[in-house]
Amino acid sequence: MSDQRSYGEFPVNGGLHDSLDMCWWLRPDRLEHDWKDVSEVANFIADYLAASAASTDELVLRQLRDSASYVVNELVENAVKYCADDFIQASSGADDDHWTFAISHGSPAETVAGLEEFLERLQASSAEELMIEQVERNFELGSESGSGLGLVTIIADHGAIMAWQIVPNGGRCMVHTAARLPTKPTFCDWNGAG
Amino acid sequence: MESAEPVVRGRFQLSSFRESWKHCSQASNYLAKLIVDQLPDTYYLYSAVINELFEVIFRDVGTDGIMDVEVSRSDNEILLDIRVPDVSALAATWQAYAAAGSSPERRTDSYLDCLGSEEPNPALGLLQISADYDVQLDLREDEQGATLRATMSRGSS
Repeated sequence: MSDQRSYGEFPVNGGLHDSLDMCWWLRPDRLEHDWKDVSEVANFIADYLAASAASTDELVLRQLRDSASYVVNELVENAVKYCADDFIQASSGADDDHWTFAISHGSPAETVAGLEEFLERLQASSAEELMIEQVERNFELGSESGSGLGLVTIIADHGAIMAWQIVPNGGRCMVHTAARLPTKPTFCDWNGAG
Repeated sequence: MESAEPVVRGRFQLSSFRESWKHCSQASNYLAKLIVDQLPDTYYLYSAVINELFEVIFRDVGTDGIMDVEVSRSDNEILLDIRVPDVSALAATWQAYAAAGSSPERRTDSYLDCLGSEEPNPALGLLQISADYDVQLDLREDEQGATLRATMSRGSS
């Protein structure tokens, strides 16, 4: 019996990593030692998906590739910051409608409590509202670390559809984060007409 | 035998891996960047070697199942293991490689012979990395598949 908690609609129930096209087990100690490695994996995953993408519109594909790189970079950075294990699992896959990314790692229960508080706020308001609120809060507190601004940005600016699963196990939790990017632009006019 | 420290593990659905030839160079460039410390020359060495191995997999192995990749390193060596589910897919290439002999000198001779021959040799790429970069290659088979291992010296170029 598990008191697993979910936020948002997780794209696949169980076995998510196995169902995606590519999966990596990354070492957080290496990534923390050299943050460049985070952008390397993010760029690699984005380029890999772009190489076999069906889109023939170069501008759309380039924007999608750049958004994917940004999103994966943000998710892996978060995982490195809060990981309590010796590995982070990062997966990616694509279908006609979405590029999907899934990041999993273990975290101490107290760290996850802070994440869940943020996720409750995210569910109760829009990403745009939360972004303004966080910017104001950060300005008052003079700190950006752990504010969730990165997550809000990938929702508001990159159109990512996010979901989380929290699976407690003793004094720690497995945190599964999924992000889906629509392959067809829906959050801005790509032809500059609006 | 010195112990090797794992650097990264990856898993590819072969169906998507074989959707684009670019995947070979993308994956090899990424892995090479993880492997290198500071010497820029070795980046190109590792990238060239790994790319050649991925290209052999891309050419020989089908679209069913998964390909597991693991990179580890010790003080003196980089180990790259590529595991595929279909043993028979690599048989022709490996037999051609093994036929060249076990000594580096004989493999180099075979590579040069291949370059001067109009007869295609499926092991040309493997002979090239063996001759040019002194890479040791091994193929291990079991019930679940085959693992192609490349052993590369660290810091040489």
